[in-house]
Amino acid sequence: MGRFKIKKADLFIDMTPMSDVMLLLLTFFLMAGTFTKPEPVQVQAPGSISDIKIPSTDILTIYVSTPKGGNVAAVPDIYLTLDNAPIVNQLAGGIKKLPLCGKIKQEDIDEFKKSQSIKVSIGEMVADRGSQDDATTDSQFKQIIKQVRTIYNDINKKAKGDNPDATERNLRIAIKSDKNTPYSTIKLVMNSLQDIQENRYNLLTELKSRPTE
Amino acid sequence: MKTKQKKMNARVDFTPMVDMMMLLVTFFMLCTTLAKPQTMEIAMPTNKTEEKNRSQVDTKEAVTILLDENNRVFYYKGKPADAASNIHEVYFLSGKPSGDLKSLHEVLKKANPAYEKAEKIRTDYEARLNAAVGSAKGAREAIQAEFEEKFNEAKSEKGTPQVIIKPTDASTYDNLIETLDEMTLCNIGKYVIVPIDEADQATLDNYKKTL
Repeated sequence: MGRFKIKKADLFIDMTPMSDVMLLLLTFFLMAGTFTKPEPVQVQAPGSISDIKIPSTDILTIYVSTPKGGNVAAVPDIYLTLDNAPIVNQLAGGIKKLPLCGKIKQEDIDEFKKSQSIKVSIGEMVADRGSQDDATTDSQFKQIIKQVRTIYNDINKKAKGDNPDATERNLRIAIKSDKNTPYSTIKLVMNSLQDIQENRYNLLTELKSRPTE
Repeated sequence: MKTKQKKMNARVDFTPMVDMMMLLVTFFMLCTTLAKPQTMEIAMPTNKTEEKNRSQVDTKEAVTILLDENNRVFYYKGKPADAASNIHEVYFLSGKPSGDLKSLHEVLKKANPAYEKAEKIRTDYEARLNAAVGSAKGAREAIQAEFEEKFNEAKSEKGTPQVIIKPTDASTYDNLIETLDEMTLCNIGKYVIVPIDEADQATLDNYKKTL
Protein backbone atom coordinates (compact mmCIF):
# COMPACT_ATOMS: atom_id res chain seq x y z
CA MET A 1 0.00 0.00 0.00
CA GLY A 2 1.24 3.38 -0.94
CA ARG A 3 1.48 6.22 1.55
CA PHE A 4 -0.71 9.26 1.20
CA LYS A 5 1.17 12.15 -0.11
CA ILE A 6 0.77 15.27 1.98
CA LYS A 7 -0.41 18.03 -0.27
CA LYS A 8 1.36 21.32 0.10
CA ALA A 9 -1.27 23.87 1.28
CA ASP A 10 -1.79 26.80 -0.98
CA LEU A 11 -1.39 30.01 1.00
CA PHE A 12 -3.01 32.10 -1.68
CA ILE A 13 -6.56 32.95 -0.63
CA ASP A 14 -9.02 33.71 -3.35
CA MET A 15 -10.34 37.21 -2.75
CA THR A 16 -12.79 37.26 -5.65
CA PRO A 17 -15.96 36.33 -3.65
CA MET A 18 -15.08 38.90 -1.01
CA SER A 19 -14.64 41.49 -3.71
CA ASP A 20 -18.04 40.53 -5.11
CA VAL A 21 -19.76 40.98 -1.78
CA MET A 22 -18.09 44.32 -1.25
CA LEU A 23 -19.20 45.53 -4.63
CA LEU A 24 -22.77 44.54 -3.77
CA LEU A 25 -22.62 46.40 -0.47
CA LEU A 26 -21.17 49.42 -2.18
CA THR A 27 -23.94 49.46 -4.77
CA PHE A 28 -26.54 49.10 -2.03
CA PHE A 29 -25.30 52.07 -0.05
CA LEU A 30 -24.95 54.17 -3.17
CA MET A 31 -28.51 53.46 -4.24
CA ALA A 32 -30.30 53.41 -0.91
CA GLY A 33 -28.66 56.36 0.75
CA THR A 34 -28.97 60.05 0.33
CA PHE A 35 -26.12 62.27 1.38
CA THR A 36 -26.54 63.80 4.79
CA LYS A 37 -26.75 67.53 4.43
CA PRO A 38 -24.59 69.37 6.89
CA GLU A 39 -26.73 70.81 9.65
CA PRO A 40 -26.09 74.32 10.90
CA VAL A 41 -26.13 73.16 14.50
CA GLN A 42 -25.83 69.82 16.20
CA VAL A 43 -29.27 69.00 17.53
CA GLN A 44 -30.43 65.94 19.40
CA ALA A 45 -34.11 65.61 18.65
CA PRO A 46 -36.36 64.04 21.30
CA GLY A 47 -37.75 60.54 20.79
CA SER A 48 -41.36 60.08 19.81
CA ILE A 49 -43.58 57.15 18.91
CA SER A 50 -44.90 59.06 15.92
CA ASP A 51 -43.73 57.25 12.78
CA ILE A 52 -44.84 59.64 10.05
CA LYS A 53 -42.04 60.23 7.57
CA ILE A 54 -41.34 63.71 6.33
CA PRO A 55 -41.08 64.18 2.56
CA SER A 56 -37.56 64.97 1.44
CA THR A 57 -38.16 68.09 -0.64
CA ASP A 58 -39.54 71.59 -0.13
CA ILE A 59 -38.87 71.83 3.56
CA LEU A 60 -38.00 74.88 5.55
CA THR A 61 -36.34 73.66 8.72
CA ILE A 62 -36.09 75.81 11.79
CA TYR A 63 -33.12 74.66 13.87
CA VAL A 64 -33.15 75.63 17.50
CA SER A 65 -29.89 74.90 19.27
CA THR A 66 -29.46 74.39 22.96
CA PRO A 67 -27.10 76.54 24.91
CA LYS A 68 -24.03 74.60 25.98
CA GLY A 69 -24.36 72.62 29.17
CA GLY A 70 -28.12 72.97 29.32
CA ASN A 71 -27.84 76.50 30.67
CA VAL A 72 -31.43 77.73 30.55
CA ALA A 73 -30.55 81.41 30.86
CA ALA A 74 -28.19 81.43 27.86
CA VAL A 75 -29.59 82.48 24.51
CA PRO A 76 -30.01 79.69 21.96
CA ASP A 77 -29.38 80.14 18.24
CA ILE A 78 -32.08 79.86 15.61
CA TYR A 79 -31.23 78.94 12.03
CA LEU A 80 -33.48 78.71 9.00
CA THR A 81 -32.51 76.09 6.44
CA LEU A 82 -34.12 75.69 3.07
CA ASP A 83 -33.39 72.52 1.11
CA ASN A 84 -33.93 73.99 -2.34
CA ALA A 85 -30.90 75.73 -3.86
CA PRO A 86 -32.64 77.76 -6.64
CA ILE A 87 -35.10 79.18 -4.13
CA VAL A 88 -32.29 79.99 -1.72
CA ASN A 89 -30.59 81.98 -4.49
CA GLN A 90 -33.79 83.80 -5.34
CA LEU A 91 -34.35 84.58 -1.68
CA ALA A 92 -30.78 85.65 -1.04
CA GLY A 93 -31.00 88.13 -3.92
CA GLY A 94 -33.95 89.95 -2.43
CA ILE A 95 -33.25 89.54 1.27
CA LYS A 96 -31.66 92.97 1.77
CA LYS A 97 -34.78 94.71 0.50
CA LEU A 98 -36.98 93.25 3.24
CA PRO A 99 -37.62 95.59 6.13
CA LEU A 100 -35.29 95.04 9.09
CA CYS A 101 -33.19 92.64 7.03
CA GLY A 102 -30.92 95.42 5.71
CA LYS A 103 -28.72 94.78 8.71
CA ILE A 104 -27.82 91.29 7.52
CA LYS A 105 -24.17 91.30 6.49
CA GLN A 106 -23.15 90.43 2.94
CA GLU A 107 -20.94 87.62 4.27
CA ASP A 108 -23.96 86.06 5.92
CA ILE A 109 -25.91 86.22 2.67
CA ASP A 110 -23.03 84.61 0.77
CA GLU A 111 -22.86 81.95 3.45
CA PHE A 112 -26.63 81.44 3.11
CA LYS A 113 -26.22 80.79 -0.62
CA LYS A 114 -23.48 78.29 0.08
CA SER A 115 -24.80 76.42 3.09
CA GLN A 116 -28.53 77.16 2.59
CA SER A 117 -28.74 78.10 6.27
CA ILE A 118 -29.12 81.51 7.81
CA LYS A 119 -28.95 82.54 11.42
CA VAL A 120 -31.70 84.86 12.57
CA SER A 121 -31.61 87.27 15.45
CA ILE A 122 -33.47 85.93 18.47
CA GLY A 123 -33.41 89.27 20.27
CA GLU A 124 -35.43 90.76 17.45
CA MET A 125 -38.00 87.97 17.72
CA VAL A 126 -38.45 88.70 21.41
CA ALA A 127 -38.78 92.44 20.73
CA ASP A 128 -41.25 91.80 17.93
CA ARG A 129 -43.47 89.66 20.14
CA GLY A 130 -43.69 92.50 22.62
CA SER A 131 -44.65 95.11 20.05
CA GLN A 132 -47.95 95.72 18.33
CA ASP A 133 -49.07 93.41 15.56
CA ASP A 134 -47.56 95.43 12.74
CA ALA A 135 -45.96 94.04 9.62
CA THR A 136 -43.27 96.73 9.50
CA THR A 137 -41.72 95.60 12.77
CA ASP A 138 -41.70 91.92 11.86
CA SER A 139 -38.51 90.13 12.80
CA GLN A 140 -36.09 88.66 10.26
CA PHE A 141 -37.48 85.26 11.17
CA LYS A 142 -41.01 86.22 10.11
CA GLN A 143 -39.86 88.21 7.09
CA ILE A 144 -37.84 85.34 5.68
CA ILE A 145 -40.55 82.74 6.21
CA LYS A 146 -43.16 85.03 4.67
CA GLN A 147 -40.86 85.64 1.71
CA VAL A 148 -40.31 81.90 1.18
CA ARG A 149 -44.06 81.36 1.27
CA THR A 150 -44.53 84.12 -1.32
CA ILE A 151 -41.92 82.55 -3.60
CA TYR A 152 -43.68 79.19 -3.38
CA ASN A 153 -47.06 80.78 -4.08
CA ASP A 154 -45.63 82.51 -7.15
CA ILE A 155 -44.14 79.25 -8.42
CA ASN A 156 -47.46 77.49 -7.95
CA LYS A 157 -49.39 80.28 -9.60
CA LYS A 158 -47.05 80.23 -12.59
CA ALA A 159 -47.23 76.43 -12.85
CA LYS A 160 -51.03 76.60 -12.74
CA GLY A 161 -51.00 79.18 -15.54
CA ASP A 162 -48.90 76.95 -17.75
CA ASN A 163 -50.75 73.77 -16.96
CA PRO A 164 -53.95 73.76 -14.90
CA ASP A 165 -53.35 70.16 -13.77
CA ALA A 166 -49.88 70.81 -12.44
CA THR A 167 -49.27 69.41 -8.98
CA GLU A 168 -48.71 72.06 -6.37
CA ARG A 169 -45.40 72.30 -4.62
CA ASN A 170 -46.19 72.45 -1.00
CA LEU A 171 -43.78 74.14 1.37
CA ARG A 172 -43.62 72.51 4.76
CA ILE A 173 -42.21 74.03 7.85
CA ALA A 174 -40.38 71.77 10.26
CA ILE A 175 -38.96 72.55 13.66
CA LYS A 176 -35.89 70.64 14.74
CA SER A 177 -35.06 71.42 18.27
CA ASP A 178 -32.92 69.86 20.94
CA LYS A 179 -34.36 67.74 23.73
CA ASN A 180 -33.18 70.16 26.36
CA THR A 181 -34.31 73.38 24.74
CA PRO A 182 -36.40 75.27 27.27
CA TYR A 183 -40.05 75.65 26.39
CA SER A 184 -39.73 79.45 26.47
CA THR A 185 -37.70 79.31 23.24
CA ILE A 186 -40.10 76.88 21.57
CA LYS A 187 -42.95 79.14 22.61
CA LEU A 188 -41.23 82.09 20.96
CA VAL A 189 -40.85 80.17 17.70
CA MET A 190 -44.41 78.80 17.80
CA ASN A 191 -45.94 82.18 18.62
CA SER A 192 -43.96 83.87 15.87
CA LEU A 193 -45.22 81.28 13.41
CA GLN A 194 -48.73 81.80 14.66
CA ASP A 195 -48.42 85.55 14.03
CA ILE A 196 -47.77 84.95 10.35
CA GLN A 197 -50.57 82.41 10.01
CA GLU A 198 -48.32 79.39 9.77
CA ASN A 199 -50.37 77.10 11.93
CA ARG A 200 -49.44 73.71 10.53
CA TYR A 201 -45.96 72.49 10.93
CA ASN A 202 -43.89 69.43 11.70
CA LEU A 203 -41.85 68.69 14.75
CA LEU A 204 -38.87 66.52 13.87
CA THR A 205 -38.24 63.64 16.23
CA GLU A 206 -36.28 60.41 16.52
CA LEU A 207 -38.23 57.17 16.40
CA LYS A 208 -38.94 55.53 19.72
CA SER A 209 -40.89 52.29 20.11
CA ARG A 210 -44.26 52.21 21.83
CA PRO A 211 -43.84 51.33 25.48
CA THR A 212 -45.10 47.85 26.31
CA GLU A 213 -47.89 47.66 28.84
CA MET B 1 21.34 30.31 -25.38
CA LYS B 2 17.77 29.55 -24.84
CA THR B 3 15.95 31.26 -21.98
CA LYS B 4 13.65 29.17 -19.97
CA GLN B 5 10.07 30.32 -20.35
CA LYS B 6 8.57 30.91 -16.94
CA LYS B 7 5.03 29.68 -16.50
CA MET B 8 2.87 32.74 -15.86
CA ASN B 9 0.60 32.72 -12.85
CA ALA B 10 -2.91 33.46 -14.10
CA ARG B 11 -4.22 34.40 -10.66
CA VAL B 12 -4.60 38.06 -9.89
CA ASP B 13 -4.24 39.23 -6.32
CA PHE B 14 -7.54 40.82 -5.31
CA THR B 15 -6.49 41.97 -1.87
CA PRO B 16 -5.79 45.62 -2.79
CA MET B 17 -9.11 45.78 -4.58
CA VAL B 18 -10.93 44.47 -1.52
CA ASP B 19 -9.09 47.01 0.61
CA MET B 20 -10.25 49.81 -1.58
CA MET B 21 -13.83 48.51 -1.64
CA MET B 22 -13.88 48.32 2.11
CA LEU B 23 -12.82 51.95 2.30
CA LEU B 24 -15.51 53.03 -0.14
CA VAL B 25 -18.20 51.06 1.68
CA THR B 26 -17.19 52.62 4.98
CA PHE B 27 -17.25 56.06 3.41
CA PHE B 28 -20.74 55.65 2.03
CA MET B 29 -22.01 54.08 5.22
CA LEU B 30 -20.89 57.05 7.24
CA CYS B 31 -21.91 59.76 4.81
CA THR B 32 -25.41 58.70 3.88
CA THR B 33 -28.65 58.58 5.75
CA LEU B 34 -30.92 55.68 5.04
CA ALA B 35 -33.90 56.72 7.09
CA LYS B 36 -35.87 59.90 6.66
CA PRO B 37 -36.39 61.73 9.91
CA GLN B 38 -39.60 61.06 11.79
CA THR B 39 -42.03 63.85 12.26
CA MET B 40 -44.99 64.77 14.35
CA GLU B 41 -47.59 66.90 12.66
CA ILE B 42 -49.31 69.53 14.72
CA ALA B 43 -51.86 72.15 13.92
CA MET B 44 -52.05 75.13 16.24
CA PRO B 45 -55.09 77.37 16.51
CA THR B 46 -54.85 80.74 14.77
CA ASN B 47 -54.56 83.80 16.95
CA LYS B 48 -57.12 85.64 14.83
CA THR B 49 -60.06 84.00 16.55
CA GLU B 50 -61.42 85.55 19.70
CA GLU B 51 -59.65 84.57 22.88
CA LYS B 52 -63.00 83.63 24.44
CA ASN B 53 -63.93 81.12 21.77
CA ARG B 54 -60.58 79.45 21.99
CA SER B 55 -60.51 78.69 25.66
CA GLN B 56 -64.08 77.51 25.81
CA VAL B 57 -63.62 74.03 27.11
CA ASP B 58 -66.23 71.94 28.80
CA THR B 59 -64.73 72.18 32.26
CA LYS B 60 -66.28 68.93 33.43
CA GLU B 61 -64.21 66.98 30.93
CA ALA B 62 -61.10 69.13 31.05
CA VAL B 63 -57.79 67.66 32.17
CA THR B 64 -55.04 70.22 32.61
CA ILE B 65 -51.44 69.07 32.46
CA LEU B 66 -48.79 71.38 33.88
CA LEU B 67 -45.21 70.74 32.77
CA ASP B 68 -42.67 72.02 35.25
CA GLU B 69 -38.90 72.17 35.49
CA ASN B 70 -36.76 69.07 36.09
CA ASN B 71 -39.18 66.89 34.10
CA ARG B 72 -41.93 67.15 36.71
CA VAL B 73 -45.57 66.91 35.65
CA PHE B 74 -48.72 67.87 37.50
CA TYR B 75 -52.34 67.54 36.49
CA TYR B 76 -55.80 68.47 37.67
CA LYS B 77 -59.25 67.66 36.45
CA GLY B 78 -62.10 70.09 36.06
CA LYS B 79 -62.29 73.82 36.58
CA PRO B 80 -59.18 75.91 37.28
CA ALA B 81 -61.02 77.31 40.35
CA ASP B 82 -60.98 73.88 42.02
CA ALA B 83 -57.43 73.16 40.93
CA ALA B 84 -55.90 73.66 44.37
CA SER B 85 -57.73 70.66 45.84
CA ASN B 86 -57.44 68.54 42.70
CA ILE B 87 -53.84 68.90 41.70
CA HIS B 88 -51.54 65.86 41.79
CA GLU B 89 -48.03 65.14 40.71
CA VAL B 90 -47.48 62.40 38.13
CA TYR B 91 -44.43 61.10 36.28
CA PHE B 92 -43.40 60.51 32.67
CA LEU B 93 -42.85 56.92 31.58
CA SER B 94 -39.30 57.84 30.61
CA GLY B 95 -38.58 59.35 34.00
CA LYS B 96 -37.78 57.52 37.19
CA PRO B 97 -40.78 57.25 39.47
CA SER B 98 -40.10 58.32 43.00
CA GLY B 99 -42.47 57.75 45.89
CA ASP B 100 -45.95 56.45 45.20
CA LEU B 101 -46.77 58.61 42.20
CA LYS B 102 -48.93 57.47 39.33
CA SER B 103 -47.76 57.80 35.76
CA LEU B 104 -49.27 60.36 33.43
CA HIS B 105 -50.02 57.48 31.09
CA GLU B 106 -52.09 55.67 33.69
CA VAL B 107 -54.00 58.81 34.68
CA LEU B 108 -54.89 59.77 31.11
CA LYS B 109 -55.94 56.24 30.22
CA LYS B 110 -58.27 56.18 33.19
CA ALA B 111 -59.66 59.60 32.34
CA ASN B 112 -60.45 58.54 28.80
CA PRO B 113 -63.61 56.39 28.57
CA ALA B 114 -63.02 55.82 24.85
CA TYR B 115 -59.52 54.38 25.34
CA GLU B 116 -60.45 50.70 25.07
CA LYS B 117 -62.71 51.23 22.09
CA ALA B 118 -60.17 53.27 20.16
CA GLU B 119 -57.40 50.81 21.05
CA LYS B 120 -59.50 47.94 19.68
CA ILE B 121 -60.06 49.84 16.44
CA ARG B 122 -56.34 50.42 16.16
CA THR B 123 -55.30 46.80 16.78
CA ASP B 124 -58.00 45.57 14.38
CA TYR B 125 -56.65 47.94 11.76
CA GLU B 126 -53.09 46.75 12.24
CA ALA B 127 -54.21 43.13 11.90
CA ARG B 128 -56.16 43.94 8.74
CA LEU B 129 -53.27 45.86 7.29
CA ASN B 130 -50.90 42.96 7.98
CA ALA B 131 -53.34 40.56 6.35
CA ALA B 132 -53.53 42.86 3.32
CA VAL B 133 -49.77 42.87 2.74
CA GLY B 134 -49.15 42.30 -0.94
CA SER B 135 -52.62 43.30 -2.04
CA ALA B 136 -53.30 46.31 -4.23
CA LYS B 137 -52.28 49.72 -3.00
CA GLY B 138 -55.81 51.03 -3.43
CA ALA B 139 -57.25 48.35 -1.17
CA ARG B 140 -54.76 49.19 1.58
CA GLU B 141 -55.49 52.89 1.26
CA ALA B 142 -59.20 52.17 1.61
CA ILE B 143 -58.54 50.23 4.82
CA GLN B 144 -56.49 53.14 6.13
CA ALA B 145 -59.10 55.75 5.27
CA GLU B 146 -61.83 53.71 6.94
CA PHE B 147 -59.65 53.27 10.02
CA GLU B 148 -58.87 56.97 10.32
CA GLU B 149 -62.50 57.93 10.15
CA LYS B 150 -63.58 55.37 12.75
CA PHE B 151 -60.59 56.06 14.96
CA ASN B 152 -61.06 59.83 15.00
CA GLU B 153 -64.74 59.45 15.67
CA ALA B 154 -64.11 57.14 18.63
CA LYS B 155 -61.41 59.40 20.02
CA SER B 156 -63.55 62.51 20.07
CA GLU B 157 -66.94 61.09 20.99
CA LYS B 158 -68.95 62.62 23.82
CA GLY B 159 -67.45 62.19 27.26
CA THR B 160 -63.83 62.00 26.15
CA PRO B 161 -61.49 64.33 28.01
CA GLN B 162 -60.26 67.61 26.63
CA VAL B 163 -56.63 67.90 27.55
CA ILE B 164 -55.04 71.29 28.06
CA ILE B 165 -51.26 71.19 28.06
CA LYS B 166 -49.67 74.10 29.87
CA PRO B 167 -45.89 74.03 29.81
CA THR B 168 -44.01 76.42 32.04
CA ASP B 169 -41.02 78.25 30.60
CA ALA B 170 -38.63 76.03 32.52
CA SER B 171 -39.92 72.78 31.02
CA THR B 172 -38.08 71.36 28.02
CA TYR B 173 -39.00 70.52 24.46
CA ASP B 174 -38.59 66.85 25.32
CA ASN B 175 -41.32 67.17 27.97
CA LEU B 176 -43.68 68.67 25.41
CA ILE B 177 -43.00 65.93 22.86
CA GLU B 178 -43.45 63.24 25.48
CA THR B 179 -46.77 64.75 26.54
CA LEU B 180 -47.91 64.88 22.91
CA ASP B 181 -46.87 61.23 22.61
CA GLU B 182 -49.10 60.39 25.57
CA MET B 183 -52.01 61.93 23.65
CA THR B 184 -51.36 59.41 20.88
CA LEU B 185 -50.79 56.52 23.26
CA CYS B 186 -53.89 57.24 25.31
CA ASN B 187 -56.03 57.84 22.21
CA ILE B 188 -56.95 61.36 23.18
CA GLY B 189 -58.54 63.28 20.33
CA LYS B 190 -58.93 66.73 21.78
CA TYR B 191 -55.93 68.57 23.15
CA VAL B 192 -54.43 72.04 23.02
CA ILE B 193 -51.14 73.61 24.01
CA VAL B 194 -51.64 76.92 25.76
CA PRO B 195 -49.28 79.09 27.76
CA ILE B 196 -49.56 78.82 31.52
CA ASP B 197 -51.47 81.63 33.20
CA GLU B 198 -50.83 83.28 36.55
CA ALA B 199 -53.58 81.42 38.38
CA ASP B 200 -52.20 78.03 37.33
CA GLN B 201 -48.66 79.07 38.17
CA ALA B 202 -49.81 80.13 41.66
CA THR B 203 -51.67 76.84 42.18
CA LEU B 204 -48.60 74.94 41.09
CA ASP B 205 -46.26 76.90 43.37
CA ASN B 206 -48.56 76.48 46.36
CA TYR B 207 -48.92 72.76 45.75
CA LYS B 208 -45.17 72.29 45.47
CA LYS B 209 -44.73 73.99 48.85
CA THR B 210 -46.95 71.40 50.52
CA LEU B 211 -44.96 68.47 49.18
